[in-house]
Amino acid sequence: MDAQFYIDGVLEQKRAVIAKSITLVESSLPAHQETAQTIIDGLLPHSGDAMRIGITGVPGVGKSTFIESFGMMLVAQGHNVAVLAVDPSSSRSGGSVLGDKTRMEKLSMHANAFIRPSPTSGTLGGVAKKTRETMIVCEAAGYDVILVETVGVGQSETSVASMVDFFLVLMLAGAGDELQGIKKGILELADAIAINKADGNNIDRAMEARNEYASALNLMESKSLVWDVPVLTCSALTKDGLDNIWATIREHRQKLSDAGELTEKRQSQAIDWMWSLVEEGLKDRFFKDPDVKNQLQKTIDAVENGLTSPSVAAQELLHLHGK
Amino acid sequence: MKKEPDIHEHNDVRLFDDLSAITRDGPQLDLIQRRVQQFILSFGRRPRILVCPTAPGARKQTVNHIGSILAQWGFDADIGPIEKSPEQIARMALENDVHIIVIFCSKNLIHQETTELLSALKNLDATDILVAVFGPAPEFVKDSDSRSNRVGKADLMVFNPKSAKDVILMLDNLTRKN
Repeated sequence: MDAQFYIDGVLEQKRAVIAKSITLVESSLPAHQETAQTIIDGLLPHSGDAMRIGITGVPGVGKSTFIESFGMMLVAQGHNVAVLAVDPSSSRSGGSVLGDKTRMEKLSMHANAFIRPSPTSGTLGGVAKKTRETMIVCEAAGYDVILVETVGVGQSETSVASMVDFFLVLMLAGAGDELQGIKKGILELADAIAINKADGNNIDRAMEARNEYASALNLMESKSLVWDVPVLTCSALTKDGLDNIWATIREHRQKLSDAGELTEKRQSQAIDWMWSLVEEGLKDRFFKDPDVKNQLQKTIDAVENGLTSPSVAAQELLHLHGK
Repeated sequence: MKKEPDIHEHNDVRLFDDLSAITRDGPQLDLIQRRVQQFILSFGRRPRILVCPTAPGARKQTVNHIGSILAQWGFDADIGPIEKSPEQIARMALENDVHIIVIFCSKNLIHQETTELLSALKNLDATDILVAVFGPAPEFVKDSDSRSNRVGKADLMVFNPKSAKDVILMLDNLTRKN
């Protein structure tokens, strides 16, 4: 199939073609990458209007359950929702267990929803870097809300925050050491914090946690001239507070659009995207360089046996590539 | 009321032991992982497999365990929700663009469910996705060519690996199909 087949199929909202297009985007085969680039170029003019929302939180915070309830609320309002779930891969085997749909049972079957879990690493060191392209495929297919779910706390959060309009950090109430345990960097990325599982006899603790986070945020410099990061409470189980979160996301978009910050943010993200592609390309060229290939194992052995320091080895390899 | 046979009653529990044994055996695991690497070189991604329990009483823990073993082999394993209809499984397989679906069925429903799943895939024009039944070959596919794990017109397979060789055969089948 040529690229035009995929472009037409995505624009016609054919699920099978959307799925295959994402596979091409994520593929490590050069021929697939070339086709994928043509597809993305063809779809780019049809994208850009969707709400791009990143959702993160520590394991157990209820991200998938939140997305199930939040997504169902949005489709009931007439939105088309795509969920891109990033799941961790084994660092040893490279394989992954992708289980998000088990926790999004209703949404995964809804006619106006599309859910695609992707492994973090896969074949060429991180599918998350392909999430931008995947978002474009989904937007061109008519999904006007894109939810990107990331796992736990780590590098993927920074990466996802740099490709969405709104970054929601889910937190839990009741853990006394929470504030100490949270990486400051994650809070700096947040456009809103929501204390999930604010239901039953956990409501008081959720309110307490909300106050603690609000105090903590007061000590941090705001990243926007027009937006103060709010701390909200919600329950994905009872669905309380979900409408408030959606209202917050829309208010954020409105304020940033009016102030010109949304345009600036997307311009800045486009530059980030370019640099990440440059980095990816350089790394790819490095490993394909015949001189590097010939020397690589010897250098690795030398480092393993303590005959060469890692810094000297790295310099030698880079020098070989730079010849 | 007669109790519906569950996943353990239908599928010999020794099968889990076989899967675990392959995973614990370094040389066998290495063979599988090498074959997976070849698969990646051919297709640009890992073999992606949707594990779906349709049997009433199927335990999520069991399915997660199998998913975890497949991930150790180097597969990307999608875990499907329990007790979904063939149409729902087919849609999930389509959206995730998996290479193969492995289903767990009640013994008395296996013929009906596999037939319905194959039909649902056909309706979605997703005939490139293989379907495998977890466990020993059911009666209606026993006359198949067991060596290659191919059944009938190769639409239906049996997922019952006893060794790395069986897993490699399955990957060979996926390679041919794709």
